[in-house]
Amino acid sequence: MAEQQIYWEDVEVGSEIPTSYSVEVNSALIVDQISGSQDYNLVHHDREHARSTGVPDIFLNTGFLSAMLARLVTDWIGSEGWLERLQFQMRRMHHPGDIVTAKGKVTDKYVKDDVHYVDCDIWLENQREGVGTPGKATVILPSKK
Amino acid sequence: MAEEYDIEKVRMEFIGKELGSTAGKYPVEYEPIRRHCQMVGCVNPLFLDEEYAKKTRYKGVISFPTAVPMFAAPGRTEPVKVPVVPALEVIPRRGDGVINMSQELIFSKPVHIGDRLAAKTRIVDIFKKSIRLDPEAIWVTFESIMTNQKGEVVCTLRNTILNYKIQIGG
Repeated sequence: MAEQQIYWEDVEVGSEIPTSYSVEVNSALIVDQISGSQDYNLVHHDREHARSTGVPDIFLNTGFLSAMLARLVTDWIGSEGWLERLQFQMRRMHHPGDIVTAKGKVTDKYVKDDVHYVDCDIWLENQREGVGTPGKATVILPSKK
Repeated sequence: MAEEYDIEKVRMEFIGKELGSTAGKYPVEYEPIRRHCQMVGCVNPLFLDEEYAKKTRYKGVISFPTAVPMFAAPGRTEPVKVPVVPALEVIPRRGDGVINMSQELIFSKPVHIGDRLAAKTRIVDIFKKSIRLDPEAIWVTFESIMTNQKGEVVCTLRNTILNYKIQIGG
């Protein structure tokens, strides 16, 4: 995560979010996923069951994907920033063996009612299919003024 | 011959329908936040370290954003073969397949240790859209408004799921 607080004035439209990171989907991660999300649906940890529903393998759950995207943003905006809106679509699944990477880019910055906003495109991609989980975030950052 | 799914009738009857309220089984606690952070490798002290967080404008640890809905839920999901989705408990099902397709979360206020959360949920949209697994898949969007013990809205979640007929080898 970023060591220093970032301010609205520091952000440039078009710049990449610097707190990109990756995880490998393996058995330990699947255990952490259940523990951390409290989602015990079998399609996320029982391969035989997952395949019986027509999907090729178990896949990361919604709670995990949203948390990956939220970490990308909260690591960047620091303790004085606020994640106001997080939106994402689950277009492709992330399966065991995948390396999933969280990335983002600043698309707009503006001031409304004295609040300093930044809009971003954010996404999760893996080595097999590229971007599988596209999304958007709106954050509020402190101003130097 | 299978009975046809009357999407217009279902839309008329169920869009806007309230799905009731839930209350969080437990108050907001450190340990579930830590486990939620751990699953994605988050080490941000705002969510993990009370001494650090006390010095911020929040005056203490706050929930990691995406852990908030967990604290408004009545407990963990059960390890069942057909997921229990409240919106699909009231509308006619297309089949046993359920996949979560998209989410939008709006975070209105910080959630603190000790807060008690609750949620009210309603169906906001139902439509039919083809997918590879089922050309007649049904998509349902529901909205949950989560509040704290003061009645303040802390988070709004809009979730779109799809319900499909499982056709193995078909």
